[in-house]
Amino acid sequence: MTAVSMTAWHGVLEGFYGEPYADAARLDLVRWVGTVGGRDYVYAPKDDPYQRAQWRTPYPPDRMQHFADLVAAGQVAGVRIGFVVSPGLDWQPGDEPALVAKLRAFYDLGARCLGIAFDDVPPGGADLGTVHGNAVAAAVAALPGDVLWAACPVDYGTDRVTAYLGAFVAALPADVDLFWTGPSVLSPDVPVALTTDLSRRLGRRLVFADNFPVSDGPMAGVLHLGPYPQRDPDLPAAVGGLLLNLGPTPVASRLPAAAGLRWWSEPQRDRTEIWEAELAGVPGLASLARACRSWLTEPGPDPELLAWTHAALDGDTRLEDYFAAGCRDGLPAEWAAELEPWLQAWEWHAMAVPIALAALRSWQDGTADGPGGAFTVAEVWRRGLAMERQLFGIRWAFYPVTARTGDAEHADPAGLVRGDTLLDTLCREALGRLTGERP
Amino acid sequence: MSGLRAGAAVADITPTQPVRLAGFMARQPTVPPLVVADPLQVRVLALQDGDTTGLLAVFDLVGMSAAFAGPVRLAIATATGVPVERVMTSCTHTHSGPDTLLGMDLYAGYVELLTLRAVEAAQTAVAALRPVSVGAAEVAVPLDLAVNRRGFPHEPRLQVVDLLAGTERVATVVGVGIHPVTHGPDVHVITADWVGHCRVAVEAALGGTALVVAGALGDVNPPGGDGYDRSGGGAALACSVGTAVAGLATTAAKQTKDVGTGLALSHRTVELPVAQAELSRLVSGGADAVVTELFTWSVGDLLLRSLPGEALSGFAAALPRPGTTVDVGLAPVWQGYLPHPDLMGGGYEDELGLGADAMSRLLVALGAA
Repeated sequence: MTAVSMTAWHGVLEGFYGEPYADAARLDLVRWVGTVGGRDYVYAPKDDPYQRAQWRTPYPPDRMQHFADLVAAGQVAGVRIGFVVSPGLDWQPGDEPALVAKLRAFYDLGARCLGIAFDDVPPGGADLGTVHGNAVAAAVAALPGDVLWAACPVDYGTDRVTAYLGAFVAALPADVDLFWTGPSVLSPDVPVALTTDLSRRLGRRLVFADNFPVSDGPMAGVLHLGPYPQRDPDLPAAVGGLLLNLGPTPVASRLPAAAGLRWWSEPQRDRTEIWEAELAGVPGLASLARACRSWLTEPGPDPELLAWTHAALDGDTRLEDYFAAGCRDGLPAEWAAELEPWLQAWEWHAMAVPIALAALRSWQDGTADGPGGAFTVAEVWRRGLAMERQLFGIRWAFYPVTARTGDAEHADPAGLVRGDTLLDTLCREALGRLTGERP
Repeated sequence: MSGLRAGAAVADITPTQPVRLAGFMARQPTVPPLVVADPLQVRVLALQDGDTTGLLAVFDLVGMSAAFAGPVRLAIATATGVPVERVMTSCTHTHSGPDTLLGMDLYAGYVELLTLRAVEAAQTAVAALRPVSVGAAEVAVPLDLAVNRRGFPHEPRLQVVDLLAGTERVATVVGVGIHPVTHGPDVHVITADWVGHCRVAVEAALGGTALVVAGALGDVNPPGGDGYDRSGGGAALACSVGTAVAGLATTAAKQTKDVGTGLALSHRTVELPVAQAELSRLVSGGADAVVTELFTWSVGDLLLRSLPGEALSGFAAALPRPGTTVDVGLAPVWQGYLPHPDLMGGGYEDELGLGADAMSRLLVALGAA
């Protein structure tokens, strides 16, 4: 058994809603995390019934064997495997033995990073905070001292010490880290001063569980393959580490996760350059990645593609050249298999955009033949608008940005993205010209 | 050749196999045996002035989503050489025909039948083009014939557009907003409803080809508690409503005034946001925005204006009505009910549509103050 490192957390979190990763994919991810400088893989998928809904039920032997394999793979790869149990849906005082038993099983496998999460359960005040904090404290007390502990409170996205949170941390042993997603459930901005102050007031390390690149719930129409979001370069030093919350695509999540982990280690570097360097390491991915680089704070299309779109309306062919090059050449098979629906959506654009441009141009040069230009462009747009998957910018998504009034958490309208994709821009401008409403 | 010319034609679009009947949310989702009370038709009016040609194709259907209307318009355009932006589709909104909104339980081959017959009618209408003069008139519709089912005060009107080649009538366009729902959800027969009876009566009285276009019918029913005969006597009610509307139309036809000359066909698009509600997303096909085509056709003082759904009377009342204005509802596609955003909150019609923001934007695009 290798010695447990008590250094800062630096890795990824499997904590999204939806079907957990396949075992083989998870093992591959653990091996991969070590290759990009990560050292943590935290297992907490919301829809693993034994992790959350039926947390008291012991994992069956085959699941425990898989977890043993994970721990073993982590030891080879230099990656700590963290296991989190989420008892918050129906926690009752007196449940402590069941919680300890569940966690001890992981400890017995060799896991030395353990966590208890109360995220996404009904909120409460100080009384609930004390109950939850006592649950964590009981587990910490019952297991040997060589465990790196973390806890996720109900109020995990906050800019303040709520009554719940104050009571929660008061009940916790001092060396239990707190999972924290920033001032919001998904945080477009994480001020360093706020982080430092909150950590001081809570008396413990905050582990920044960044909800990037996850895309579940009402973000699911967008695939986050882009650069790590703009964060303050001083943020890594202000917290106890980073855990990136992965999305439901275990292979494709590697690109944005690698970009994030690399930047976190070298926060003075340009995050886009880091992303481009990581992207260069995946042959054949560039075309799709440029189409899927948008996120909450940068919802528009790839700037260069957008510039080519405007130019294309006046005859420039770079946009068509981009589409003509395709999106599959050289792409590794496992990437192509996982990204197939997105590749198909990209290829639909590669078919549709030239059609719309051709309709415009044949009208511009007076050689129109076939369906009318405005109808064609409107049809292309109509079909694009109805597509489930959004590429080349975000047309609509709702990111879980939250704010607090007093202790009460509520959705922040800043999380609603209504923007224009490349197709929207193209079709709107083309239709404006075709119908005479734009010069 | 300058000067206005017109032609009209009719083709049968009656399903030849059993289909689920579309229109009533309360109807059982079954596919009843095929019983045809009277045929469903597509009626095409061709208008031409010099190099400008427009085709209005009115279908005895509950409505067509873009997935149905688009290919039909393309086929007509390809077959006739008329630009697709000048091919306007509309539906009479019969609730006793196949589902051309979502395509539920539509047998393989019906879309082809629909398309081929529409093309056939369009080609025939174009081939029949001849010089015409155009007159128009508008009369009030009795409130006991056009019942506002939401209890809103309204002033229903009926427009007649008369296209005459000398003394011979080429076509009569009747614009009126009354839901074709006389048979109700429990009678499973194919029928054009009162619209079919109306056309027969108008043609018997006036000659030529009659087209009935759906005006602001979103909240307007025929007489009866729900606009249909609960005793199953829908056919009699359809006949009586159709005959009454035809009577108004023939009366109006005697009062028409020449609208002048000069055919102008305008085609625009407008982006409409879609509300988050589930029914709004059903209407939009899942999209959070839609692109809607707007047609505005004029002949002298006459205006034919497309409305992309079932306009409620409050919505239509907010629109400018220069000269004689005929609202062509459900054109070129059905995008749900079109309520006035300031008059929402009173019924399911407000939910089964794109939402208040879209309606505000649509009103502006249509020239409402």
